[in-house]
Amino acid sequence: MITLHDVTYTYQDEKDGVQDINITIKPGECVLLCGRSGCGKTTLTRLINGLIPHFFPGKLAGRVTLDSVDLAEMPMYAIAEKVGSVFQNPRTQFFNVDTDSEIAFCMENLSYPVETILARMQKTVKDLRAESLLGRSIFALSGGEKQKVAFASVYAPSPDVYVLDEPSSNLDVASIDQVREILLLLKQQGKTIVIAEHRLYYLQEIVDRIIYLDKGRIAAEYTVEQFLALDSAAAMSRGLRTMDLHKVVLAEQRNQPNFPVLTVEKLTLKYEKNIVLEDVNLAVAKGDVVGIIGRNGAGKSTFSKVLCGLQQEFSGTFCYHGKPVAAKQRLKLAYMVMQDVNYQLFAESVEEECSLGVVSPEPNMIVDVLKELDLYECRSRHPVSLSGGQKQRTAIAAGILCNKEILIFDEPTSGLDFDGMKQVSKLLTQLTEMGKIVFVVTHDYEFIALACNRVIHFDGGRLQDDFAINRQNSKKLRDFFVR
Amino acid sequence: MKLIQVLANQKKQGRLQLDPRTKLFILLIGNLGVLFAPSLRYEIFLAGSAIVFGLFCGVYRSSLIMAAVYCLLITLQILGAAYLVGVWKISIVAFISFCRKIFPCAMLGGVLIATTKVNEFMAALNRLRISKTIFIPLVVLLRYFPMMKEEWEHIRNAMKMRGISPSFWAIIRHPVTTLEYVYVPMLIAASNLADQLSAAAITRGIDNPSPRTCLQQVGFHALDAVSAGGALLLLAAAWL
Repeated sequence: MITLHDVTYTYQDEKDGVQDINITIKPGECVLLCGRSGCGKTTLTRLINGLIPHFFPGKLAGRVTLDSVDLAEMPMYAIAEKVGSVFQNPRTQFFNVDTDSEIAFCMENLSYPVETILARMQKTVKDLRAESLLGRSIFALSGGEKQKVAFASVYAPSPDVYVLDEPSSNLDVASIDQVREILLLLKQQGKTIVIAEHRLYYLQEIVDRIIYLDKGRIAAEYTVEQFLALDSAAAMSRGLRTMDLHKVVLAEQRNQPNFPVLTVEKLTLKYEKNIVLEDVNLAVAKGDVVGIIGRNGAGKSTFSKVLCGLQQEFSGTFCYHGKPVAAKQRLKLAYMVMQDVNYQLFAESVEEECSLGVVSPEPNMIVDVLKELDLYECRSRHPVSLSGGQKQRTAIAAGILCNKEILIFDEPTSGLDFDGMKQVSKLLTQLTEMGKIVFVVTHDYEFIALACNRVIHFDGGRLQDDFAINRQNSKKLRDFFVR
Repeated sequence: MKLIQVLANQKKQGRLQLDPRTKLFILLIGNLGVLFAPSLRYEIFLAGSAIVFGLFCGVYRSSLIMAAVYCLLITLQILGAAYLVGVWKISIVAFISFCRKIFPCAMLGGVLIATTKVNEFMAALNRLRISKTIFIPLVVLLRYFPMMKEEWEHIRNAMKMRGISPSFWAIIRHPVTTLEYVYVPMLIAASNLADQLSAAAITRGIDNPSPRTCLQQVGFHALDAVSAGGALLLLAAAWL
């Protein structure tokens, strides 16, 4: 049993702590922690897996106990045997570079004998149906496969409690489904599960209790029935994503711009004799917001790289305003806002970032764009010190000021709450008003329903479908995301 | 027994299966060899041996690329010394001899990283009774190198899209600025990675003071003795 008794915690930099938390979690219970970004749900998971106070220093008052033992007095390795943790980013939680060692890692640390490790590994891969993931390099795994290995590595020593911090944020639909299956298995085994999440839909059959946090405090508690009974307006006002994807409705009829300026003809790309893209044909107009959907490995990211000119097309043509544009010219025309924007921020301040790579920067235009994107106040701050959303907007500002006509977003809403998602959607509208063409690679159904006017669906390197988002096509879209 | 099969298959990769401690020893000897190298001939001999060692360990592709790079360096140095004049001669020849000096160590270090699993390395360091406060950062470093390639890909793509591509000419014309553009995001990515990695490792019990077990068997075999002896002989050749 886990109890948090009058817990108040402040981080060293005094950001986003929690106050007056009292929770009792029964063995075998599954508790969902939700709320806006920065509401303190991640902090609660850290209190339960011991990272607070053992890894994050700060001011902690109150007691967190596991089976009546104070976690602050247990060493981390003793907690590790009882509490397994899976984090948001599958890429940065692997200590090893091969899957076998990663699955064995925790047990090796806990000095299990080799025979036990082998037996447990065998059971783990069987239970989680992860046989095909054995003996692989982690660099060759997809995000979903990585997350499965992360689950396997905490499942193997068989802890009683599982603490999960946004495990679905970087995953596609099929992989989220796999996470759901794993969670169902854990529940069957009577494990205690604490999960902090923005995406709620896949947890409907799993959670027993929902704790809603606001500004570091517990603001409400719901059962699943109560929670599902909240109407969408109530959920939105709490900054929450939907728990039932069937409730996602397409908003008003969208603009469907007519005159295509960007055309793609017979695009085919091979990589080491494998066909990655085949015979892709497309025409896109200014003002289009095109959602790119498909499973992992369907060709979405290759297509966006080719579109940006980062990869040469094997055959086929791109035309912009009727003129063919080669890869080199597309590099000047198109710009990708990466999922991890940290890679594309180079300068000492937001303002400098905006003039970087621009041949003759116009100060007036920089000011305009910064104001437009709500960055003017922090123009002299270092990009590192910004919040995730501000960083994303800085990257967008840089793209606009480089005179890019085509903007491609790679998973812009991963790990965002409802408010964050709405803001991104507003940004895309702003971009279309500037006459840009926008593409969005995404696994986020709610976001597409909110922001896109058109969807292209890749499957096995082919453009399987290309349709406008409207009432008639809503079933098609839902069938892809809802199972 | 599928799992056992997988483990057995991995053992077969590469010709020479050495204990990580032997590889560390050879790396150390390589460093000493460079330090005491009496002549260019000895250095070439040393670099050649490092490449052969890489090939024996099964790192074929990188070893061959490195061999080609080394030949190019030597040729450039000889041509540079003969035909260039003034500042160019000094700077280019000095730069090349610096690269040449660190080459055997870089090669041996690369082989160590490419052929050693993180947990094998940990087990070996454990056996050497090195304290965890020292070896955990070392292991994180070992873990980071293969990841640098991915990070570099992202950063290079981001730079290309901003027209500040780290091309050959950009590096020649604005070496400092170009390097800055690379290292700022790289440093941030690395520090994020180190934080998250440490948090994950600590929730998986890495701070356990009792000795950790290891799935991969580490231990000395005849080949370890042969390789270590060979390395010592190479070092001794510096005084011949």
